[in-house]
Amino acid sequence: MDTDRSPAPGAVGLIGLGEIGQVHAAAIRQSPAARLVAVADATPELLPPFEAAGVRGYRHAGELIADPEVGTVCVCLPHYLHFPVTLEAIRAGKHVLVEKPLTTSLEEGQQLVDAAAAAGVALGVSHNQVFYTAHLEAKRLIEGGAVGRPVLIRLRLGMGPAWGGWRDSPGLNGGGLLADAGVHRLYLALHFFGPVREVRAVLDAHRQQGETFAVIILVFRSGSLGIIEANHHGPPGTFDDEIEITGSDATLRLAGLQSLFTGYRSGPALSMFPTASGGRFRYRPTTGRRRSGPASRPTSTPSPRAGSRR
Amino acid sequence: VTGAAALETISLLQRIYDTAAVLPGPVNLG
Repeated sequence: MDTDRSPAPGAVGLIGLGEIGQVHAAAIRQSPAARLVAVADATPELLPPFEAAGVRGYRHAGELIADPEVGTVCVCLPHYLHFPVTLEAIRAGKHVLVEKPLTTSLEEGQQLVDAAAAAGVALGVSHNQVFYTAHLEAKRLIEGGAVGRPVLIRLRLGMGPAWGGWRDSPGLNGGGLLADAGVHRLYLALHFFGPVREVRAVLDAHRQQGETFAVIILVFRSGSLGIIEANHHGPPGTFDDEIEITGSDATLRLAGLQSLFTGYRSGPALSMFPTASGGRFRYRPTTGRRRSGPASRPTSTPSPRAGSRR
Repeated sequence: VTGAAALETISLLQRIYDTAAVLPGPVNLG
């Protein structure tokens, strides 16, 4: 006799039917592994379209979390609510997928990770851009050695005007541009180049005031470098998030994002170019010696592994 | 990604905010 009364993980309850919540709802409907069984939002007008399709609608997050059929809770709320709602769901024994950022503080994030481990449930965070086809391909090329030794990553975020609403309130958003769309730049930098050793940054405002300009230099543990530049002052509709990855043998350029939600258009979003020296130059970040003369000259430079102290 | 992996991102964000130099006035938007 089957005595396991745990709800199926694929039975999803979605909390928050704003812009990104609607994207999650559409994705759940398309997934063969998931079934949308309940939604919750404080705005009652958003519920009837779901209820008409047989999905239970709730006005309060707690009601959805208490729904015994819900196995996984998807949290698509303003950032400051990620922590309390996710914690409540974890304590109710639900698996949780929460939108980025996980929380607005590291301490709260650690609490959620610990709580999920204690409850034996899965806690996932929607770092969706990792899974863009072009990004997967770029990662494969880097790991396969196609670009040589990774040297520099430049991540741009050129946004149109602020969206308005809670995102413009640093207390609700957890900061300014970096705490919002900028999170995608941060996790992709870590995804492609690994842990960061040093950070240098210049912002136009403190976190509590909500920055709209940021220039960030990253020094990765590997010795490679990163640059993130972000601003919220582009033409209306702009979402420019080009990435350029320079290696000792080739440069990758990822550009052409069509929209925040659909990812890169079907055209050549990922391009690869040989280095200016045609691959003859070998980057050696750990020797401390500076090259002299033109970049194409040292064709007999030893292997980049020589003298390495990773 | 897992919550544990996402902590690294939150940590980096916090490091940026904690150590950033903040301009004394608004960026000149012309």
